[in-house]
Amino acid sequence: MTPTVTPLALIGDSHLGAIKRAFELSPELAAGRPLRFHAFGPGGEATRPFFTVSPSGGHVATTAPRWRNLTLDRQSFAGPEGQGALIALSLPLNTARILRTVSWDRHVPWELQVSEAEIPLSRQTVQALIEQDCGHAVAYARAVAALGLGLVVIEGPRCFAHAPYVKRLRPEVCLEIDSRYRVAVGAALAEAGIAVVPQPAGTITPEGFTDPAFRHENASDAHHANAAYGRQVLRAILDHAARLEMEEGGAAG
Amino acid sequence: MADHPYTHLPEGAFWSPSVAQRHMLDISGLWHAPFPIAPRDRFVTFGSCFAQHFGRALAARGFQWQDEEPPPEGLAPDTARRLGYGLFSARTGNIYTAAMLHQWVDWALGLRTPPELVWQGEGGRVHDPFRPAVEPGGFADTAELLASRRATLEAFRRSILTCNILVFTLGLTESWLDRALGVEFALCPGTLAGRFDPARHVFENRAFASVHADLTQAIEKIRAARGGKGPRVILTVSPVPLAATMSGAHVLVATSGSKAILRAVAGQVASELSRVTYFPSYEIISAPPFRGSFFEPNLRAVNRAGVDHVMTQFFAGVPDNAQGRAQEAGTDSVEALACEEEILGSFGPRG
Repeated sequence: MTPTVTPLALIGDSHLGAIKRAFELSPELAAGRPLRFHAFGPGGEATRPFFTVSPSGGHVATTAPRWRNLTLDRQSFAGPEGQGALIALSLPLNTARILRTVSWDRHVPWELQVSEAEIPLSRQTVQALIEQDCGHAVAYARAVAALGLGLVVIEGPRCFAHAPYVKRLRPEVCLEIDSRYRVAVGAALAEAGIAVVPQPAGTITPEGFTDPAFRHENASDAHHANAAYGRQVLRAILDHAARLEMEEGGAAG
Repeated sequence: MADHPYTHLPEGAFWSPSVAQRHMLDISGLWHAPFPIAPRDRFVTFGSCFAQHFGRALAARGFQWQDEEPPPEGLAPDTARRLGYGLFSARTGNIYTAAMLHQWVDWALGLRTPPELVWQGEGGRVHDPFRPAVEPGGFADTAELLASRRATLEAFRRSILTCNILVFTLGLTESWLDRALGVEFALCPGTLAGRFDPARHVFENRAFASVHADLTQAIEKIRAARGGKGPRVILTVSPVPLAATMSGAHVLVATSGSKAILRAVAGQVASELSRVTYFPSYEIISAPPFRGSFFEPNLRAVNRAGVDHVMTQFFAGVPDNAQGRAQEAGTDSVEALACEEEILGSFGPRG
């Protein structure tokens, strides 16, 4: 009997673009695994309520006005033999949102304050900003997981040091917020039993930014990564899917 | 009929036509700004909880309400308020008494040094005895608390030294002091945090002379630090009754006594110092013609209609040419558009 292959559906924000381009350039990476993409739209929409759960709990639907919305149920993206899909979600672990929208040029974690022109923020305030930014996206991940679909969250790339929203900040402030965000969201996802595919270590500079070698093919885009980055992430996701199949196969055997 | 001093007084000087014969919402002309107020004037607001309404109303009307310690951009308004931002012109929390205002002024101007005193809370967290509610649950540790307090003191200093108009709302006469340190707390130790020590913590119900001296000195010190150039001052008295009293009197009687002192001091200081006025928010909410209708069912909190009525009366007393315009909403950020381009580039139709 041929082992069943879990279909893979990659959904979420604009960081899926790099993965999609990598797949288009090298479809053989999937090794025959059915792959589907569904990009919602700008991740910034995720800071507001953007999904509903049906009264029966059987459907989770995104509702953001500027998105290409998606309704998921247990059979979404299922394979031809009815095998449930693994959903890879790029959304909760995206620090660009909080780095772009909060006034980190004027407000800083209190430990990093260097002048009276900066307003020091307590840990509680920074944490409130993080929870406010990621709360709906983490809740969405929980809701999708509750459908019974397999779910893994794709960690978004760390910011590029040359990005305009990073250049107006002190690097240590930027990296501190990035770090606290990843720790807080990682903990929330772990508590919900949701695995994370981390950013490949080889794409991160010693300082903690994304290596400029992986900047977007379009030089004017200082926010998204390129297909070479996407290739590494796609491999990591596929490896994760294969591991799950082995574990499930092992458990079944 | 003989001519006498009352003959030529305006209608507002007579109870019957200006109060008794009017619907309560038609009672008007209660206050007129006695000094110029220009659209470019920068207001700062401090005081008891009722002062929070002033800042919000001024900003909503397009006046230049100065927030020297604003919340980080992007923080939801409700969360910001919960964390003590945007309530006053710096994150001082409520300054209930004239003595506390005087204390803040002294600290901000470097005339006294605030003690590095903290109150222990639950789970090792610490509270600032001088603004115990600004950080719900307390600060993580003393270093965080002191860094935050320094920032607030600096913001308070900028507020009082650069504003054109200072609005201060007097709330209480009852206060709690640290006998050893000679400082006044915002709350009785042990109520929200800290531990009450009867050997060290003393209650004082400030009398007229004490409130008068603190308020006068606070204003004079601010003006002296500015070389005598401003600010104009608007004093108000909070109509919110005491939640509890240590005076020994019934809380209703204690409220009446405290508010009478504060009202009398505000009027006295307004008559003694130039460019100081008293705005009657206390009367607008609490006077008998309003029949208590501006209070919530707990007969303490002021309801929305009451706040609106107070602010309507305030703006009615401000010259028309000072009325501002509400701010317009913002637009989408350039960076959000960049994300849409990435989506279109990778997932849109190909040529």
